[in-house]
Amino acid sequence: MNLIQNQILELLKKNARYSNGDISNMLNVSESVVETEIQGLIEHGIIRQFTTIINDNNIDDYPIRALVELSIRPEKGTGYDAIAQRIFSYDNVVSHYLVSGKYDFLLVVEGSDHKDIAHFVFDKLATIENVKSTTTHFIFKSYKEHGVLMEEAASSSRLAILP
Amino acid sequence: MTFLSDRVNRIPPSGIRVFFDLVLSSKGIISLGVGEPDFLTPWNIRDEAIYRVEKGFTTYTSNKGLEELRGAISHYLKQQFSIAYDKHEILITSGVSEAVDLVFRSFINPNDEIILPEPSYVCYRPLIDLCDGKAVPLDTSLTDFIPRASDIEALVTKNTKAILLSYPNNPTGQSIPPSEVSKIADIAVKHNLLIITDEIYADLSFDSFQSIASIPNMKNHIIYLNGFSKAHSMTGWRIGYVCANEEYIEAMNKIHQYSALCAPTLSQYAAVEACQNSSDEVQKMRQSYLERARYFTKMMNDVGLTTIMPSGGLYCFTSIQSLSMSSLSFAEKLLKEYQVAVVPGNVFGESGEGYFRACIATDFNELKIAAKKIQEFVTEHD
Repeated sequence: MNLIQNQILELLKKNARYSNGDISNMLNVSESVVETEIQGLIEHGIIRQFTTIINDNNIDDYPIRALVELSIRPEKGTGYDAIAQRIFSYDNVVSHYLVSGKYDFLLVVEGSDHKDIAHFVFDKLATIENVKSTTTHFIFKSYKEHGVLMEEAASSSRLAILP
Repeated sequence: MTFLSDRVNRIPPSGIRVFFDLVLSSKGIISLGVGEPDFLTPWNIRDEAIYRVEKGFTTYTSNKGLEELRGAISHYLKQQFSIAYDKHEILITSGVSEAVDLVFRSFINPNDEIILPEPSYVCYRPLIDLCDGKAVPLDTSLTDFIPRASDIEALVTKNTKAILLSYPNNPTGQSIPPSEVSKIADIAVKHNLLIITDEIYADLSFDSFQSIASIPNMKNHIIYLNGFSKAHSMTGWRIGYVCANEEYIEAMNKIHQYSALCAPTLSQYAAVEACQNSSDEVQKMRQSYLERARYFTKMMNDVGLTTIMPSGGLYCFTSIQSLSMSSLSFAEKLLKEYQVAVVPGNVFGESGEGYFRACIATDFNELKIAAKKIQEFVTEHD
């Protein structure tokens, strides 16, 4: 990646709603360069999606989430990837990582309520032959997502005018 | 009869006070009049202070400041700016403001002249006056806000004691190119003058920055000032410092030990952490200021308000000469009609008339709205 692509990514990570014009002014490059670079980043699969960070702590009837740890017996030849595909293909698996440590897969699973998630874990995940064990952690509260605090900490406000 | 001293009575009342009060009492405005960063102090620095509170590091430090901090600053200046001061050549002060006051009180005799390129930050003139010195302004508005060595030299008289430089500059954002820096150093040596250089924004330089204090064999001519307020987002912590040869430091310490005793202890520990472990954070903040400065500069130039891209710091200095109104009346109208606050340029000296200062350390969405409102203002009043 070149410097401009890097700087565009950093800006879009902070705010995906920056217009090409805003980015062009901030990086001192033309708007068409910004457009081309963003298109390139999308085509190369580096930008996967423009999305929104939501504070769901205070939203009633919002899907709940759990972290699910899975111990896996990998398969000869395909390792973890083939098993992963059987898991991440479910829509309610919103994130899926292969990690080091005591277990192998770490998932973020979404469901309408606790029962919904429990059912998914017992019925869909635990029954996969290569899944040796599961541990489920329901998320009670989210403090920070993708570098963004869910609740703005109180801080002193700046003087509105000062030389 | 008044109890007030003649000295304090000599400081003129600020003509801008009424406007400032108006801004401070206004609700629902977007303020580009702010004079500090919009980032909180990086957490590792705050955490260090919390740790020190818990452990009870709440006593005085030595007058000159924690040895650990002076050592860290010595190392930092060498790394960042190739400036060589040993820890015994550094005095920690309560912000750079105290350092400026100490320098003037230690070096100015009555009627000494200090050449002061303007526009400049507002504290220098009154503090020089308090020492019965004379500020000799140099209008830099015709040279893109960069003081030229030849223009400085033209102001040198037998009473000239010092040249005061504050670059990257508040309010203009400009810095002096290295070639001109060398020439200014030569003038100081030639006429045996002191150079007082306040480089509080140097760490927020968008381009490489050459400090006059990095020129070898100049130590007897240089008083170097810097601090943590701007680059490390530590305005409220009040930690600045002054670097000079040991004789000068000891002289300033004679005043500092009685007037301040020492800079705030907890803040000094926090500053050690700032020196040692904050370069990534500072880099992120600098990049963010650069992006916003570019944005604002472009938005102003697009609508015919000439703005030179700053080379560092938190401000853009924009010309309103095309609008044929004074800085103050522009600022008042903009506040009343468009609910946007800026600082009128004349606050920073006569040569700032016809300009306004905008703090780009403002949330981007607000900065964008403010820039668009200024554009609308121009369209309406053109």
